[in-house]
Amino acid sequence: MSAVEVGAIAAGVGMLAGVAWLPPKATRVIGSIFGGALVFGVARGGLGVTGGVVAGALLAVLLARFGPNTVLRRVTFLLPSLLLLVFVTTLLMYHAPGSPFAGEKVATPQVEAALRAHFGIPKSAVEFFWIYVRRLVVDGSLGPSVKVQGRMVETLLRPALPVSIALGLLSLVLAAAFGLALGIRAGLKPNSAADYVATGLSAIGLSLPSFVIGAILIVIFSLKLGWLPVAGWGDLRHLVLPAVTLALPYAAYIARLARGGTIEVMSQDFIRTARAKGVPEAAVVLRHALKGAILPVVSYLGPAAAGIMTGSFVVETLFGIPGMGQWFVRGAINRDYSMVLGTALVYASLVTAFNLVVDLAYAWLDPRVRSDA
Amino acid sequence: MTRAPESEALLRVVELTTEFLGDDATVRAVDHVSFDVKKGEMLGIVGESGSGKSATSLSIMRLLPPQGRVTHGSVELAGANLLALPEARMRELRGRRVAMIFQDPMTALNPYLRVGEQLIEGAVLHLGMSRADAQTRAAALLDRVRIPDARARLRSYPHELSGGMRQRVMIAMALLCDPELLIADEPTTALDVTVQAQILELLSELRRERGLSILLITHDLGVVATTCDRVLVMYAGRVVELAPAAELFARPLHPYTAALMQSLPRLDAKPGAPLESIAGMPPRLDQGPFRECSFAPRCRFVHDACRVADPPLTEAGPERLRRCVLPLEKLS
Repeated sequence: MSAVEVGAIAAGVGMLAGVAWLPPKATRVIGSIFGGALVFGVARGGLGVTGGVVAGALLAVLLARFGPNTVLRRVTFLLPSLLLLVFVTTLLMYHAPGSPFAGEKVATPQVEAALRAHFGIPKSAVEFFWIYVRRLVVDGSLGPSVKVQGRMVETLLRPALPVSIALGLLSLVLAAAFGLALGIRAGLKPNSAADYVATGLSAIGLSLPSFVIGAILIVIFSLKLGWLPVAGWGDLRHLVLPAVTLALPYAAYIARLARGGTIEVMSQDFIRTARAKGVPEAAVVLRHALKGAILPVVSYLGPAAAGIMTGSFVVETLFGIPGMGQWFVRGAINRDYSMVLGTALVYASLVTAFNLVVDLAYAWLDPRVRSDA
Repeated sequence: MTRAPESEALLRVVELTTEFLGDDATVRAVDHVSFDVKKGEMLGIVGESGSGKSATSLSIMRLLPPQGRVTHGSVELAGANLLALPEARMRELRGRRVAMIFQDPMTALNPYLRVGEQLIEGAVLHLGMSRADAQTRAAALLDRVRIPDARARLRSYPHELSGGMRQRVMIAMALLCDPELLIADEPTTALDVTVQAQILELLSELRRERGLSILLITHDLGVVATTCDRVLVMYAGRVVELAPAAELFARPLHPYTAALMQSLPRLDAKPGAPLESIAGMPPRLDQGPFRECSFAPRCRFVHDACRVADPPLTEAGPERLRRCVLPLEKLS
C-alpha cells in the first residue's frame, strides 16, 4: 500500500473517532445536514434532482428540530463511514489480483487505456476513488457496469433490491418469531421436554448448511407434496421455501439467545417480587419478564440482518431468485469494480439503517440505556 | 409452650419444616419451626446466613424455588391453612392479605417498568381499581412514605431513584392493598446506616397507624432491638430462643444469643481491640437429624449433657422459650 492510501485510511478513521467527541449542538447541525444529503442521494433516483432536494431539505429540517440525539449521532457517523467503506473497498479491489480488463483476450495497451478511460477505471486506486465519488455526488450514479455492457449499476440493482429486501425481511420475521417462541418456551421450563425439543431443533438448525436445508425442503414440499414451487420468482408462494431456508439458522440462534435470556430474567429478584404481589404467572412472564428476556435477541438482530442480507446468495442461487446476491458475487468474480462498490454501498446502507432501528428498539425496551440524552 | 389465645394470633406457624433437594443430599433448611405473630405485633427473626430465616418467609408465602418443599407443618393466617390452599387462592392472598418486601431494592424492582406501573399492579389486580384510581392511591402512599413529588415519581424508572427511595417504593407497593401481615426480609441490609434508621422508623409508624402485623427478618440484632416486640432467634434451621425483645437483650438465655450479642462491635471497646466473633461454622444441614445440640461444637459452655441428645425447646419463664440444657444460673 502506498503512503497516500495509508494516510487516507488513517484520516478516515480519525475523522470517525472525532465524530464521537463532537458536542451535541454540532452533532445536531452536522447530523441534520448529513441526513438531508443522504436522503437527497437516495431520493433523486426516483424523484429527480428537484424532488431529491425537497426531500433532503425536509428531512434535514425535521432532524434538526425533532431528531433524538442518538439518531443524530448515528447519522453523523453514517456519511464518513460510507466514504471510508468506499475507499477501503476500492483498495481491496485494486490490491486483489486481476482487473476488469484482464480477460483471456489480451487487449493492446492502447485499447485497454481507452477502455479504462471509458469506464472511469484508471490504474491508480486513489484516482478511481475520486472519479467514483464525484460521479456519485454529481450524477447520483453508481457507475457503468463493465461486464453488462451499456448498463449502469443502479439500473441493474434496482429490480433486484426489492426482491432481496422482501426475502430478507420475511426471513428475519420468521427467524425472530420462531426463535423467540421456541426459546422463551424452553427458557420458562429449563430441562423439560419442551426445552430438549427446542435445544435439539436449534442444534440441527445451526449445524445444517442452508443448501442442504433448502434441498431437503424442496424435496419434501415441492417434489413429494407438491405444495410449493421448486424455484423461481413470481408470487408469494415462491417466497416461502427460500425464506424458511434462510431463516432457519438464525431462528436456531435466536432460540438459544431467547432461552438464555428467559432463564436469566426469570431468576431475578423482581420476578419474585411480582409473584409476591400475587401477579398471575402469565402476567409475570408477559409484563415483567418478556422485555428483559428478548434484549439479547434484539441486539443480535442487527448482525442477523446483515448476515441474512449478505448471506442470501446461496439461497438465491438454489431457488433461482433474481436478488442482490447474484450481483454481489458476480461483481466480485468479474472484478466489476463499480458493481462491487454498488452492492457494498447498498448492503452497508441497509445494515446501518437496520442497526439504527435496533438501537432505538433497545433503548425503548431498556430504560437504563436511554440516559444517553 | 406459651401460645397466644386463638383470637390474637394473626399468623400461626406450627412445626414448619422445609427441605431443599440438592444433587445428592437433602438440606433441611427449616426444621420444625413454630411461632405466632399477633395482630399489630412486630416479631423479629434473627439468625446468621443459612439459619433458615428467608426459607421460613418464602415457605409462608409459598414462593420457594422449585427445589424447595415444605415437608411438614402448617401455616395459618387467621385460622386458614395457607399450605392447603389451591395455588389460585394463594395468589389472591399474596399482596392482598400478606405482602412482602425484600433485601435489595436495587434488584427487587423491575428495571424495565415505570415505578407507577409496578405500584398500581396490585390494586388493579386485587381491588379491581381502575388504573387512574390506582395511581391516585399509589401517589398518596408514596407521599405517605415520604417520597417527595410523588405524582411525578410514578413516571420514574427504578434506576432513577436512590436505594432508600426504592425501598420506600417497595414499602408503598407492599401496603397498597392494605395487607394484614407484612413480611420484611432483611429490608435494611442493603442500605446506608442513616437510611436504615429512617426505613425502620417508617415501618414502626406504619405499623402503629394501620394496626399492621410485621414479621421482620434480619441478621442484625441492632435492628430488632429498637423495633420489635418479640424476637425469635434461629440457628441451623431451628428456633433456639424466643423472648420479648427487651428481655432478650437484658438477659439472653441461650449461649448462641449471648455470643451474638458479644459479637456486636461496642462503642466503649478499647481502640484496636479485636472484634469478638463466634468460632467455627454453622453445622451442615444435609446429614439427617442432630444427635447432639446443634450449637455444641461452637458453644463455650458445652458439657457432657449437650452431647447426649439434641435438646428440646423448653419454657424458660413467662413468654420465653429456649433450646438449651445448661442450668440458667451457669449462663453468665
